[in-house]
Amino acid sequence: MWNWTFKSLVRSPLTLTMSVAAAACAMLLAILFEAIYAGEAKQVVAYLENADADVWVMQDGVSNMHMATSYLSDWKAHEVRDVDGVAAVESILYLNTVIDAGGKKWFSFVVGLDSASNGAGPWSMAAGRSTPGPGEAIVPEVFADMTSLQLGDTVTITDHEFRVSGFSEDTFSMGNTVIFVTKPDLEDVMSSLDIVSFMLVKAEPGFSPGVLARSIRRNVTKVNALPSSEFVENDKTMVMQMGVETIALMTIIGGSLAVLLVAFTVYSQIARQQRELAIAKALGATNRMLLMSVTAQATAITLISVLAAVLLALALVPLTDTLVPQVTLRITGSAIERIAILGVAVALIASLVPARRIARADPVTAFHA
Amino acid sequence: MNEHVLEGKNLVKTFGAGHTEVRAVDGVSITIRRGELVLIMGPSGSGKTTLVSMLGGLLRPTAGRVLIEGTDITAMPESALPRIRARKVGFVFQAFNLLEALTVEENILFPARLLPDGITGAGKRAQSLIERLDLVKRRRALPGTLSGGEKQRVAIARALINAPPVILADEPTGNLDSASGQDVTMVLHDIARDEGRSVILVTHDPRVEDVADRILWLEDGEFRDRKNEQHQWTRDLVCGMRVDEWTADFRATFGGQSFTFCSSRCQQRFESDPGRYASQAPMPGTDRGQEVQP
Repeated sequence: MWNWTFKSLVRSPLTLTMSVAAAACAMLLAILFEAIYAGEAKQVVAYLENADADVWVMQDGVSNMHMATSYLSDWKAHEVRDVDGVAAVESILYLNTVIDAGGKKWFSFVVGLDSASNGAGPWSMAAGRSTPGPGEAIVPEVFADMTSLQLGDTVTITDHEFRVSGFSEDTFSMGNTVIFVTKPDLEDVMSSLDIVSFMLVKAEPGFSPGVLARSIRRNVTKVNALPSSEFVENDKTMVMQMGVETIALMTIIGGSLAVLLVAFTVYSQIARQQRELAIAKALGATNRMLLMSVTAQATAITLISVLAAVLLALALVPLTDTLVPQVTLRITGSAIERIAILGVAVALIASLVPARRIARADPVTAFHA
Repeated sequence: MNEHVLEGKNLVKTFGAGHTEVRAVDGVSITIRRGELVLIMGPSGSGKTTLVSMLGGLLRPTAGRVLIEGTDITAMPESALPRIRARKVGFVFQAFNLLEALTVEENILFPARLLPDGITGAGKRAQSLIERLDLVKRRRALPGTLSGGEKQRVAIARALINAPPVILADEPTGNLDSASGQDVTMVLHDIARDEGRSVILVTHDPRVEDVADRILWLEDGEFRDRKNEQHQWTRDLVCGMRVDEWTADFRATFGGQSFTFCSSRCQQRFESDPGRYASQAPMPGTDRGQEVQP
């Protein structure tokens, strides 16, 4: 029986290849949507995750960074520094705005850095300087590629022009772009003095971020302090509720399309063998045997398709990095596992439809010429 | 030992209901003894295939019982019938129905592999059948590369692999030329005579009448006496075989004339070059007329 099952599957290599290709393309689509979703979800909090902080301090009532407005008097930094367990404090000014480069506009998070900044600036550079000077901006390399910006070119933030002095890596996502300027320059853009938006706090050895955050909230008035992990999580949740929801919806649509394609492919493959299944039944094969045969074929098609889809996806990721740098793809093991399980489940259900017809079919049809 | 290998008692099969109800088989009883070769003949649509399907456990009768070696298979649950079919009945189909992905040898072994203990000794039986049916050189061949006669011999070997007491053959020569048809007929005859298996053969092929132990005439779902006037003998223009025009399934028309053939093979040959064959046909009404004496 298994011999027949296997040989029936590979009898027509072209048909099998077409079936696998159709199912693999559908799964590839689902994997890529998942990868975009995962990549974007990671990228939108890349700045927070790479900033050197154990605890983030912000205006009371604020609990995330994305699209948030937080104002703190700069002298609060001294109060925070005096809290037991605080090793260092670094303040940044932060503005949600639009950057204009050669007429191309992009939503951006502009971070104003102290001149002595060592943990709040870009963490990886593609070119130029990692610390902006007066009148200078560090922009993401991807954004520079998209707008053909060169070092020394000019970008506009609100009504102020900045000269590009560096290209940072890993600071671009479809949802936001992180631009670094000096704090005085950003104060100038915002027409405000002696304020900061967030403080990045380093804990002394032996102090956990959670304990330190509670201590800061208790000792410094009108501030909120959160461990970095909680702050990142809040931001991720906020971002998901906003732009990334669209990607999530696309993922669901892509996944549904994949499900339909896999179901149709498996159904067609099995339905092609209906006559032979009826013959086998006439010769004495039980419904259980036929069911096992078609489900084995469906599972084989799906697993080969999953493998092909994963290999294709892994081959495509480096290509998309080059061809569409603004899209960050992140293929995770859990996503592949999820798609494989879903694919096999769908294939099994799809194989049950023709198998059910066989179970109910009259084996006398084998007599028909 | 019960000599009645296969019994059908008051078998009825209806299709549809109400005004559309059709009684395909209407109160047929039949008893087949061990080693007997029984021919079931009758016009198209007379219920032959329906009857054979019921006798083989492929189709449940609306009423009546089927007993194979004394076991009432109509009382069995649906789930038990596949095993009965695999163990007790060998099927030979007009369309051969070989599994295209499997080689000749694998096709022959297929029913044996459906039984838990079937594979024991099946290899030797397959080898013996392959030799007996002259398939030695074709044992690794796929069905697509076989001739019609070879396919039917493979189907017969497959029907015999589990050594069933009953062989049911529905138009086994219908897709074969006259030589291959004759060959297959003799194989089925030998199976009954030499191995003591009961062979039921549904056919239009009049040559088989010569080797049959009994001929049953089915008409309108009932067994009836066959009357001589129900024969209309004519000659197949392709192979020259005598054909009963009244019962034959294979027909073609050309130049306003109707022609009858022994098999689809001859019909196809005729249709590929009808002018050539039709020119050999005697003119109706002449002393070389189409009707021939049996």
